[in-house]
Amino acid sequence: MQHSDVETKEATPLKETKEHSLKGTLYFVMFIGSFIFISWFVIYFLFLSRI
Amino acid sequence: MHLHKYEKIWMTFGIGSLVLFLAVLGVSAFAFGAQPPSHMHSVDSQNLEESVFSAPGVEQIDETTYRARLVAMAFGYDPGTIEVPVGSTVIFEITSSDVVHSFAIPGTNVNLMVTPGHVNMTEHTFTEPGEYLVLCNEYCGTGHQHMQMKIEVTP
Ligand SMILES: [Cu+2]
Repeated sequence: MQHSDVETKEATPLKETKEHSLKGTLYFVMFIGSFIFISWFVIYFLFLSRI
Repeated sequence: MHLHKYEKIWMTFGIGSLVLFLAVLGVSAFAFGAQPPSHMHSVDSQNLEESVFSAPGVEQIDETTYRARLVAMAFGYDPGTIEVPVGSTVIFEITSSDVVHSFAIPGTNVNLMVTPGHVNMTEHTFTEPGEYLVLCNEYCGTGHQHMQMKIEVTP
């Protein structure tokens, strides 16, 4: 039983990677990205307001 | 090379923000003259008595511009209080006679490291009268928390 399990897993990797969805990655990357982007401008405008 | 459509989106976003940030910094540096506080001027920290820091204090340069030469040491500043009229631009030139200190006026953009051997420079225009507290925010020894001075901006 264990043996055949390993074999089926090894037989299908190509198909699996092709169907990988990057949607979750995109959301997370854009979440971190917009956080950095917004904080950068908040700090920059704080600096400008204190000149 | 094959790139996923989403990868193109976040790489464009990442490279685009980097270019934008550097452009903003570049324009403030080259068009508006923003510079880091520690520039190339140096001073012999072992012999401040014979340097421009021999008599620390404020001197008037023109009608609204003052130069404040200050010496930071463990645990205070010389002089401990300076006074300028409201509306004046103060050019701070600060050095240390011992270790690394800092010079920060909370609520303003004045916040710089004071490194021995260097003339650390920044300027600020005081538009509101009042008493401004200056703090050292660079841990410099056992009395660090007492290290402060005052700037009195008179109406
Ligand atoms: Cu200090």
